Amino acid sequence: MSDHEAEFREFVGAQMEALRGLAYLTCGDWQVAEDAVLGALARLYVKWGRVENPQAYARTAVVRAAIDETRRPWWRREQSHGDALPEVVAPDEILTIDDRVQLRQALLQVPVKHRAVLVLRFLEGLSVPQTAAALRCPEGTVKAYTSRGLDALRRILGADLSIDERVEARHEAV
Amino acid sequence: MKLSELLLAAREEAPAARITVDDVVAAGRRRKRRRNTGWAVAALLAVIAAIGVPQLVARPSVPPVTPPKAGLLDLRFSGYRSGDLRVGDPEWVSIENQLASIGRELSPGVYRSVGRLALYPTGSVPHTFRMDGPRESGGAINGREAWFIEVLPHAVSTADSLLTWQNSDSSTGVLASYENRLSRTEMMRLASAFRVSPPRPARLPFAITWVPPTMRLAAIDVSRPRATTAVLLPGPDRIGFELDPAYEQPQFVSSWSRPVSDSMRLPGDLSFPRTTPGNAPVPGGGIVIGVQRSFMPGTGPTPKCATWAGQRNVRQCQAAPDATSNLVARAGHDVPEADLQRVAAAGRIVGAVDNPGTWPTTQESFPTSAQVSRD
Repeated sequence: MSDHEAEFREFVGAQMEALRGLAYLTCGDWQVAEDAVLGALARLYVKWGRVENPQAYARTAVVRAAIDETRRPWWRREQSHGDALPEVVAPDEILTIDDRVQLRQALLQVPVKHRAVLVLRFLEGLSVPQTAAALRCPEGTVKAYTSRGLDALRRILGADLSIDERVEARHEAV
Repeated sequence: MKLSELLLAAREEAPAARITVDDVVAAGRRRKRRRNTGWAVAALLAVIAAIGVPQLVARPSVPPVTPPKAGLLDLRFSGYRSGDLRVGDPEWVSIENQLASIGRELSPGVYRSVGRLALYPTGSVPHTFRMDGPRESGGAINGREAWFIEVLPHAVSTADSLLTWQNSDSSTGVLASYENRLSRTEMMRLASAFRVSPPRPARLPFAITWVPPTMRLAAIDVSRPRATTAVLLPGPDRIGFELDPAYEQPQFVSSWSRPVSDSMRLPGDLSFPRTTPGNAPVPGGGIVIGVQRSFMPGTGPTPKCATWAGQRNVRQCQAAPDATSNLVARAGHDVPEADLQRVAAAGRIVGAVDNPGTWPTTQESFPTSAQVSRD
C-alpha cells in the first residue's frame, strides 16, 4: 500500500461519518446518501494528492452528488429491497415532539437546493461565497435559497427557529 | 431551537454504514482503472483520427489512376554488349516473340551480323527455329539448365546452332548463331548476360485512325525509324502463330557501323531496296502497313491502289499522309479493296522522326478494336 493510499484511508476513516450525515441531510435517504458518499470519495481517490483541500473537495462533492441522486430519473435509481427502511414521514400525534424527527421531516419538505444551502451554511458553517463555490451558483442565489429555506422551515415547524448568531451575522454581513 | 443544533441532531441516529473504507478504496481503484482505460482508448482513437482523417480528406474524389496493364507488344528487353558482341534493342515485336540482332564489332565502328536473339514470352512456343534437332546440355544459366540444339539444314534459316534457356519469369530465350560465327562459349556468355527488363511500350511514328473492326495488331517492325511496319491479322482466332519477319538483318547490323544516337545506337536512315516500306510478307487475310518518311512523287492524300509485284496475289494502296512521307497498305484479295483504301487514307504522321520518345505507343497508334489482349 502506497503512502498516498494510506493517507486516503486515514482521511476516509475520519470523514466518512460526517460526510454520510451531510449527504443524508441533503437527500433525506441514508442509502442514497451512502451512494453519494461512495461516488464522491471514489472521485477523490483518483485525484488524491492533487487536491489542495480534500475536506472541502469531499464536502462539495458529496453535497452535489446527493443533489444529483435526488434528481436521478426513477429508471436509473437502484431499487433497494433489503434492509433499508422507508423514510416515511408519519404524522406525529404525540405532543412531545422529537425535534430531530420533526426537523428531518421539515427538511424533506424543503426543496433540495434550499436544503443543501441550509446544511452547508448552518451545519458545515460555510460562508455565502464558500457555499456558492461549493454549489457552483451565484452568491445571490445562496442568499435567496437561505432566506427561502429558513422561511420554509419556520413555516413547516411552526416554531420560532433561531439560528446561530455567528452564522447569521456572517449571513447578514455577506 | 438553534438550527445548527437541530441539524447536528438530525443526522444522529444514523444506521450502521453499509460501506467501509475498503469499499471506498476499491471503488476508487475501479474508477481509476476505467479512467486510464478511457484515456488509452481516447489516445488510440486520436492516433487513428490523426492518421486516417488526413488520408480521407486528401483522398481524391476520383479513383486513383492505375498504371496501364503491360501490353502484349511492350518491349521486354534492351540491347547490351558482351565483349566485341552487341545485341540490339528488339527490332521485331510481335504477340509471339521479340527479335534482336547480334553483331560482332570486327574493327572499331564496323559490325557484322553473327546471329539473332529471340525472346518468347511465357506461353509462346518457338516455331521459326528448328528446335527438334539433337540437343546437348550447355550448363546452367541463372540457375536453369540451358541447351544447345543442332540445327538441321533448313531452307529459310541460316542458323546452324541454337542455345535455348528459360528466364526467371518463365519466358524462353533462344540465341541463334549464323554460319558458326558464334562459339558456344560466346553464346553462353551472351545468354548469361541477358536480362528481362520491365515492359516499356513499343512506339510507332504514325497513327491509323481506322482499320477493319475484325483486324488485330499482331506485330511491328521498328528496326528503322524512317521505315516502320505494322502487321494486322484477321481476328483474334488468327492470333497466336509466329510471324516470320523479312527485314534484311545483315544490312540492319551493318548499319550499326554508321551509328546514330539512341539507346543502343539504333540504325538511322537506311535504304532497304527490296520491300521498303511495309517490310514484311503479307499474311493471309491480314494487312501490312508501312510508313516511310520520304515523299514519293505521284502520291497524295487519296490512296491509289494497284497490284504489288513484291508478293503474289497482293495489292497495295499507297497515299501520302503529308508532304514528307508515304504510306502503303498491302493485303491479299481476301481483304476488300475498299477497306484497304480506307486504311491507307486513315494514316497520319505523329512525332519527330529522329525522336522516338515523341512517337505514340502502339496502343495509341491503333484503334482500341485492333488491340490484342490475352484476357
